[in-house]
Amino acid sequence: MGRLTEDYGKQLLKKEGIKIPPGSVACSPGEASKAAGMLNFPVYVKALVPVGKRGKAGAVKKAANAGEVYKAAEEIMNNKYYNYPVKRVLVEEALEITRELFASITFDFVKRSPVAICGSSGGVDVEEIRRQSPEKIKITEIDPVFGLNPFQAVGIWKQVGLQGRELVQAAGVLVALYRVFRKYDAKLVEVNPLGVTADGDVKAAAAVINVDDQALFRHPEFDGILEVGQDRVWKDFTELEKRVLEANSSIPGGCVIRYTELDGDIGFAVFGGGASLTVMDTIIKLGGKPANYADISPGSGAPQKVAVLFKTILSKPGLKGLIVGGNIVSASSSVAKGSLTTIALFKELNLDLEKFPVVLRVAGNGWEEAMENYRSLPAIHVFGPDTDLQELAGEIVRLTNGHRENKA
Amino acid sequence: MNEAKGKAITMSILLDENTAVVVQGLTGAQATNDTKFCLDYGTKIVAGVVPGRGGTEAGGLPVYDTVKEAQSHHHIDASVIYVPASGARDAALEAIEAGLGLVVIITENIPYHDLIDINYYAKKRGTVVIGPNTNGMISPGKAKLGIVGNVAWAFEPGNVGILSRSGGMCHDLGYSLKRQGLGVSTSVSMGGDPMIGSSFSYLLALFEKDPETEAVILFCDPGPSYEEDAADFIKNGGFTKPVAAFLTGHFIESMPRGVSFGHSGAMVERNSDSPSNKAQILKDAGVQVFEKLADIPAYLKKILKE
Repeated sequence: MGRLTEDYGKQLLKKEGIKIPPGSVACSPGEASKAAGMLNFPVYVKALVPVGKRGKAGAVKKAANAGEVYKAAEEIMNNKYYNYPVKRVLVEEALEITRELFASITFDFVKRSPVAICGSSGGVDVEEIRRQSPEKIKITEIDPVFGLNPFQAVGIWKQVGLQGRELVQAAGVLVALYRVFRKYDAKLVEVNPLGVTADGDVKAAAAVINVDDQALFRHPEFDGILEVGQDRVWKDFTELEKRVLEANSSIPGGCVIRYTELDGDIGFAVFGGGASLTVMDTIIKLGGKPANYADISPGSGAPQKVAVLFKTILSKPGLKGLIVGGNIVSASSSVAKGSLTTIALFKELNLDLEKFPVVLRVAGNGWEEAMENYRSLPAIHVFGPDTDLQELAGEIVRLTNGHRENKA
Repeated sequence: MNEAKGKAITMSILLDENTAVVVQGLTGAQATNDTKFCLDYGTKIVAGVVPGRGGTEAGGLPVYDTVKEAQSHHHIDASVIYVPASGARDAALEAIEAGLGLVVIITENIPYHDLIDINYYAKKRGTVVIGPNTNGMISPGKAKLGIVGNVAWAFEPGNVGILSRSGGMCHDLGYSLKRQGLGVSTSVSMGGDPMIGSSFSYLLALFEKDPETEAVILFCDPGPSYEEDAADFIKNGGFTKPVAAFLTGHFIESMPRGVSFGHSGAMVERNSDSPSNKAQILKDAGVQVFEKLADIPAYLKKILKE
């Protein structure tokens, strides 16, 4: 997901005619206090990192004078928020907001439609409000050809309870948000809070724009601003994870390898969306602890990338065993050929298969030949298509002595 | 107006040995490989469309510059699209505009805004869109599209339908049925993206009308709740035959929200997206929800005997 930092987001909104607070970007505490000199106090100093909930993390600070701005910027820039270092801050005027609204444009995937989400309780967690008081949130489907027209936006905000000048202004903002949504291939355009200010204007106090990174090929304006795959903020990358990320980008080819390290001792190399989730569920249900999750998207460069993935999986300390497998499926190279590569890799790694159980399923075209090949590693536990994924999971748990059936 | 010109879509839902297919993007590596398997399987692939390569031949098939041009030489009912993501919207709109009844989009990473457009026009024309990011579909013994069924022995013709967003699981489910002496009428890999061309309920409606299908298996991933929509459909009498469901990805419920495992569509963002929530919703609609894959064929065997 390509999330724009607040400054870029606000610039896009400004281009579409939406009013934003005066402000500028600074790359040091000194620049920040200088920037504040051109603004009316109080101001906000905000970390420019592509993540949400910055306020809760202390990445947004109010300042009443240049000295406070310096201090705030210094503090913020010495910290990391959700693993992002802060290289830039936004210094902007604090708006005098008399009423906070919420406005966003996003997708309803099941309805396959863009939707506008509007509410009168801005500034707070919208998901919370949706749960507690759904009547406060107005969700409207948008016809992609008819678009979101001013008369419709007026109708929406009227239902939210606006009137007069703020009604018309908020409608203009919503129409502009939809334009941004379509124009920039966004997955989400959200202004929370959208502030009605003392002078009766409606201004975007915040701006979140998530661009669909699948569409970056047609948005050269985002080169250098957005990176593909910014969705891994939930924890620090471990050394092993970094190794795989490195290999993924440095080895040429369309194949994509993914590795997530977990707290466990069963090495996991089961590929395929449904297959991997099912095996993970079963291992956990039976009391086993997966050491990682992994996935491969097919493409060129696979042999080298897969080798790195396997080696990484196996280098986590404390592993008790390994499960390898997937669905009955035929990729472009046959299962038999793949087996020779795997056998060579296991031999290279000198695994003591007696003490370190490896459970492996071969199940595509050529599986019988693959099974024959695996005879050269007699201690490996090979299974064919007749063993289903859950049975396979049971085998590795049993062999690693983690078996504890949940009788629910 | 705007009725799909392709053949009536009821038997062996969507695809059988008489469905004439054009391959958009035929000259790509995966298209070439899959098409060979599909032709061997018996699918009636009649031509390829690759702009700029009209007048040439690929894999024994004539190649045209446009779908319309192909239609002037052959009767065409459906298209399978392998065109890269940047050109997929164009290829899909072309197929829809040409009046084809079925468009199977193999391509993945198509921008969401393009999918919005594709689905909009498909709905307008009555075109069935399967995908994007799909393994394809198979009516065993009759025809197949995509990479599904390259492992032909995994499927036996029969009367159980399979619907799954996870393409690989279709083979395992098909094979588990075969081992119990059951078979598959049609198996559809609906696609791994969060936004898919045909929902569970849409396809269940087709299975309802198909005399060859007597029961359906739903394989359900975490992510946008097409299952809730399916449950409503079933509750309102839209699908009256037995349904067996399996939900995967329970462990994601204990991970932080918004984390993605498996394909991009398998993120749990809201409560309704989680497997346990979906399981309850489906159960309330009368669907048999299973925790063991191995129990599904046994259940179907029993219930189809009655």
